[in-house]
Amino acid sequence: MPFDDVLPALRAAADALDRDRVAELCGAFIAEVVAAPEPPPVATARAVLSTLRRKRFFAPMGRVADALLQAGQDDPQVHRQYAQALLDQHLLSAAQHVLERLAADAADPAEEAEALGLLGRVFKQRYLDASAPHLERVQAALRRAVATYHAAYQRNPDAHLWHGINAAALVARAARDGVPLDGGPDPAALAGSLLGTLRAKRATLEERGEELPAFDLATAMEAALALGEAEQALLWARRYTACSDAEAFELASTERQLREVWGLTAVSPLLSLIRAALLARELGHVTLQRGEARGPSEERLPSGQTLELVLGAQAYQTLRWYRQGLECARSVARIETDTGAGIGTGFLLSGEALAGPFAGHSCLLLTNSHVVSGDPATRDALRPDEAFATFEATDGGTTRYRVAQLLAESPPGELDFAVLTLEEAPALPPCAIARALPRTDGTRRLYVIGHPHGRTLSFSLQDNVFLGFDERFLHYRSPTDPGSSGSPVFNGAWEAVGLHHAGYTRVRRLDGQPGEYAANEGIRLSAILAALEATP
Amino acid sequence: MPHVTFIHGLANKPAAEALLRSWEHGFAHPDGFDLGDHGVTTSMVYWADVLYAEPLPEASSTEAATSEEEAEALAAEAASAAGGWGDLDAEGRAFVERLGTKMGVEHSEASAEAPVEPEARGAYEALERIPLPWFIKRRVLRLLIRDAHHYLFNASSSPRPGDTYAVQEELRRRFVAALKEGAERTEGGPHVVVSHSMGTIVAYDCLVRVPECPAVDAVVTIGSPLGLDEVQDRLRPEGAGQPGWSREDGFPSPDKLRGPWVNVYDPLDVVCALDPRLANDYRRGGRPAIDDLEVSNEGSWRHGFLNYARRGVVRDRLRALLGL
Repeated sequence: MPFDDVLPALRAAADALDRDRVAELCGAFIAEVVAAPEPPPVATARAVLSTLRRKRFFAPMGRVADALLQAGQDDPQVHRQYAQALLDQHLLSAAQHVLERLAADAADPAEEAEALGLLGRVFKQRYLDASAPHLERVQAALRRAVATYHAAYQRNPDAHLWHGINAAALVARAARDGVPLDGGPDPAALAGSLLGTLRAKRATLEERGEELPAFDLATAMEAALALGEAEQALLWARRYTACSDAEAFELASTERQLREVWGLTAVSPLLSLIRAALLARELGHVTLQRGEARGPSEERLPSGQTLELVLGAQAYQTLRWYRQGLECARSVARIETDTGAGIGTGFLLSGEALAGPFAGHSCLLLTNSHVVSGDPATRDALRPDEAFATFEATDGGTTRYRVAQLLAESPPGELDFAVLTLEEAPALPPCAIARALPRTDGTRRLYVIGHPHGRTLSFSLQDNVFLGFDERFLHYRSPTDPGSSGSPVFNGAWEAVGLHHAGYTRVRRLDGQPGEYAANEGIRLSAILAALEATP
Repeated sequence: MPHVTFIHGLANKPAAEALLRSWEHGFAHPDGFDLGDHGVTTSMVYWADVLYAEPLPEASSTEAATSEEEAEALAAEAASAAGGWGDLDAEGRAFVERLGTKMGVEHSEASAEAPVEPEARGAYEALERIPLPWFIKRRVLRLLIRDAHHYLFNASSSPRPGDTYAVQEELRRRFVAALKEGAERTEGGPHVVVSHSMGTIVAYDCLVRVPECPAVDAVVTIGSPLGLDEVQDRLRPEGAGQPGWSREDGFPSPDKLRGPWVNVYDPLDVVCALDPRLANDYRRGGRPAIDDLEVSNEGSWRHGFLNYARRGVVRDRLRALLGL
């Protein structure tokens, strides 16, 4: 495929979040790049990389950038995107080497500032990942991060705003963690000056009926946060989340910044708003920290009316939707061994939703039979008397419920479900059950809440486009981690439609097309209910 | 799967797909009934292009378009469309004048902006706390009269060079084609028509007077001008033995409408205000059969579709009609 022909196809595949097609096109592009006598034109190289970055395809982005560099495409932006791809795959040392050279060699001040910004992020990430602020080498990483960001800011305080806000945020963080910085900027003064610059910029744009770009809005939000102006921060966040160029890439970095650097948790309306907006975007994904998702904590949020006033109807609605999801997460259980090792997920259903012999039970736990089974033939599953359930979103997982009874199951090769009772029924609302499946027009997404690999609770909403269904199964895109087995699969109204059980790189398509694709598979709840109804 | 065929009302609209999206969004937000999440497929019988050269630009966000802004945009558009009456024959002129007099809006150019405050005004403003300015109402009503005339008299419309339509023929063709396509998509699930404003006239006309029109399971009319005598007169049978409106048997026959007809109105909606309830006018075997549902919309622009779509009772009723 000629260089320029790949771009429209790649854009379409990236927009459709079609991983297979993106990988295929990148593979073809790389083969072409490596074999051609001359590297592709700079504009093509940049466009391909930015298309991949925009939708967070970092692994193929890294491979493409690598091929371009090998072929002699020496454009600084290609180097930088290469570093970006490394950084987002947590290859920090490799990213550092690329960026240090890039910053030293840069002829263009804007490109140098970009390189320094990413270099700052390398050091910041080192500090945050270590979670050990007492270690000298970790403290040194924080100092380098502050110095790098601040130096880049000072070179052009009117333009290098995001460097400035990062410096301010990290200085504030250092103070909270008790890390001495040996100087460094005053965060309040820096934030005040950033906010002043942005307000002036915004006023000029407003005259033309325009809004600041997404990153500037996020910077203003953080600056307000640094100044302790909570309501102002929410106002900026509202503008930011309403901005059309705030895509998953931008929102995810803001979410990370608020959580990791500012230490905000699920009870913060600001973080909730960003997360809600992120989850409403394609490729949005949110992982809750252990004990963080204890359901909406009303007393620490401004009252509904105040919040709605600040946020406006649309952002408030998104926030409410997210909080309804948090509420649903309360009845999602981590299935554990007696030693507390997480092996899967389950969720509560009301017995009344299940006809026949189950109607008398107020609270039942549904999971996969490959997670819990009474059948000796299902080897890897826990036996019912070995299994425990905890509810992280309710009490941080501190109360363990022993499984009492296995009422019904279907083998992993069939409907792969197990219906359990607990020794003591938790006083939690069961998941609502949807009466119909969403439309399969490629616009609907399914939402999986579970414990990937038995780890902490995660809203695994990544690219879960609803692809198709048959009598028994639902397909949605993008493989989920294996440990998500037994998770509820929700529609957009947080009503359960399925029981997640597998992810396949190749599976027969259920979207009406011939052939195979990569997909997640859930068991239709309606198929499970029908099977239970037929149980004698 | 259940299917909803929408048909929009008077005045120009954003492009078909954007309009359909905004209507679905209207039912879904806030805290509403998301048709797509419940597996309901939808289509829009789009006909603004039959009367207008190009679609309206899409609102930048659904939040931005308040009902008042919508009303003002509509009024501005109505003012610019003031000349679009075409040649009226005697019958057409009588229709326009009768309706115009009834509503207090003369159709002639000279009186379009005249500061006359007709008696009919009282009927529209009885209980309004935030009254819509009369000049806006008048323009909207003039637009209604014009669109109704064009449809009911099968007027000719040339919205763009090279495109000429016989309005009624074209709208009937589109509506019937959409119902056929919708019927194929439902595969046994209920097929519901949701019509608004002028669209209710098209839907009714097709279900009652177009023999090849497929059957549907339920009809929802919203903010409908079907209560107007002048409209009903034009929906009478076209000849002896032909189907059409009569007060005693105006309800569509069971081989066209298998289930209920729900008519939703806000008594302060300018388009249906003169006769908002339909049960008395479209009976089945002499007995009322339509479920007239009164709602109270927000703000001053009570006629907007999205205003109706946000009412919980409307959403609940639609949900029930779809068996969800």
